[in-house]
Amino acid sequence: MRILVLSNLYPPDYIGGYELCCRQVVDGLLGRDHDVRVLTTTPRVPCPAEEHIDRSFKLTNCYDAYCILRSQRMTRRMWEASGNLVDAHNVQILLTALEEFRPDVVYLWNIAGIGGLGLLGCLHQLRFPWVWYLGDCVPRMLCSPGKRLLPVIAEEFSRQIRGYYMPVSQRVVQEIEAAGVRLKGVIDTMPNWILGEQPAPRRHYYSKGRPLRIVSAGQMGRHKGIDLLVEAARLLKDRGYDNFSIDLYGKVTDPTVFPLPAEHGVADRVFFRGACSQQELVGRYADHEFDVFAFPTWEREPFGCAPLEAAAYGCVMVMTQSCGIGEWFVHGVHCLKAERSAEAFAAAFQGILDGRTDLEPLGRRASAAIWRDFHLDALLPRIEQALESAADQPRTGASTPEDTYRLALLAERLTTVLVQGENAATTAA
Amino acid sequence: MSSTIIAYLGLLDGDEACGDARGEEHLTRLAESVAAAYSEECRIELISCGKSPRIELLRPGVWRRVLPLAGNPRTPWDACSWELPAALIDADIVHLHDAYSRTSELALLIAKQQRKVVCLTDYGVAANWLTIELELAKLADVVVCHSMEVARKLAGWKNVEFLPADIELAWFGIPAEWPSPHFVSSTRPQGVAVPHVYYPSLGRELQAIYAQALAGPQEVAA
Repeated sequence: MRILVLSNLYPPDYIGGYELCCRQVVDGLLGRDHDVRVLTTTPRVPCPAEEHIDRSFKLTNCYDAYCILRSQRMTRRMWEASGNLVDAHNVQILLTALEEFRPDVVYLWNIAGIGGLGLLGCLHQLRFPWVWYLGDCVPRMLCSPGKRLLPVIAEEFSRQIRGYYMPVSQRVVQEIEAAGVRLKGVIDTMPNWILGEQPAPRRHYYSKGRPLRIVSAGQMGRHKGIDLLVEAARLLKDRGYDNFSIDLYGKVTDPTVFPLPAEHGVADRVFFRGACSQQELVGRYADHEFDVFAFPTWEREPFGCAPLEAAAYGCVMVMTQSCGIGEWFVHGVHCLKAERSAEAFAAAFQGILDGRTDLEPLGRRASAAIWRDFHLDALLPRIEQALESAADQPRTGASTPEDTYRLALLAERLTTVLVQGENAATTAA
Repeated sequence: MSSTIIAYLGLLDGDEACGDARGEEHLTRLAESVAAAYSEECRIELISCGKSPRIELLRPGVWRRVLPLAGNPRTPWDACSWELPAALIDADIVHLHDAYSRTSELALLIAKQQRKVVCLTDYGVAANWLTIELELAKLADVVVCHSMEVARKLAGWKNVEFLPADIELAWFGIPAEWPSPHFVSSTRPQGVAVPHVYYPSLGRELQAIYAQALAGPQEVAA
């Protein structure tokens, strides 16, 4: 198959799991002899040229907190409009890629920040088949420039857009639909995955009396529950436990969390280890440096690749009870789930430290299930099947590329005048 | 067989600017004759956006629909409504009778996304910058013109229909440069005789054009 992949970012330019997963799938599809081209944005960091990657899209300033914080309201509104609604430049880049590469199907990833609705509208006009990997609530985000849902956009999205969606959890679908954006077509839930060779079974798990080694990885911010982990450490310490440590790997995206260990008197138990490559982290899991992966993330977490990678090596997941990855694992069978509070996480750790919770059966079962069902090699055939199924859709009634581009230009101009008009009205009020 | 639903947009914003109903009167008579040609097996809605939202029956098969305004438009031609997509969803045909109002521009975008048949009346005189720059008339499935001169200019375009009639944009008024809320002074003349237009014939011809345009997408769908 000839597959055109669209993603706002692509490694080595990346922010999180969405883009990393995109590269992994692309590499997997290339390895299975598909002809794959990636269309992504001009990189924010130097990136080597690669034959199958075209970095011609323009990324709107949606991830640049430095500039966003210092910008005028009107500037931000315009960025939000071009990032979420339509960017005619990017529509033209897409049209050129469709004409030159002639894909059988378009594989959408995160299309926020590149005029995602315009790109989707372009494919809709051309009746071009697509599969959309939903690692987050991107349709809702696109219909919500300025984080405020525009009901008329949501309604038109719901009415017109039909395709093949692959969300990573039901939670993602529920969150999109709860906002008023309905997904029409096929909804085929598929989890995130791991890579690598299955190691020999882990032989040593935590036993009472030894120090409990807790790890967490990802963005170091309150939305990931880093503050709750620090508080949980304080609760444990207050209750007389000091034979534990919490290692935190990742960029500190929220500066208010960095002083928390010292403020709570647990600077000797909780350690910010800084950013760490995925490869290095997996190496640490494989060396069994940790007993537990703590994931007190926000409840809207779409999935969460980090705990999956850790659990593959027997590092037991302790997670927020209703986050996305939780849909795929059973409490007390593969993992421990807890209410999203410092008290609940402290209680879970306490159960382990006291020997009431045996990590070994949890770790063994989760590891076996992950290597069997959550390895990319096991999931790629399903992805291929989805892409083939979408590619088979008829394309009757397609518009011409000229009309499609003209519509994108019209939409862009109208968006500009409407945003400016709204801003003028708000300013006058 | 279900009746055909047709949305008429354009020319009505000028009425707002002037305080008379010249645009509405023309569109009403045109719609009435189209409805008669359909043996009233159609519903035609004259749609605009205004401060007093309403829907009312004007003639058999002809309705006037005013959608609630969004925001505070600077000129009558800047008016638009969040309800426009919903107002067009049931239409089989969207006929734009001018190409310079925000409502018409939005309706063009929405109708194309909703896969409607779009008909545009082209008067061959200066429209707004956007319409000229983007050649928006090329997005229409059918372009209707009433003057031979315009028809000649559009020779070579797809689906141009020449329906001779004494209908000129200057009669309805050409908006002055934005943000003026007025017409160009020499247009929309007052105190002169109303041009004679034989609506029954126009109605029959438009009905045939609509039927042909609708047959295109249906053939594709079949």
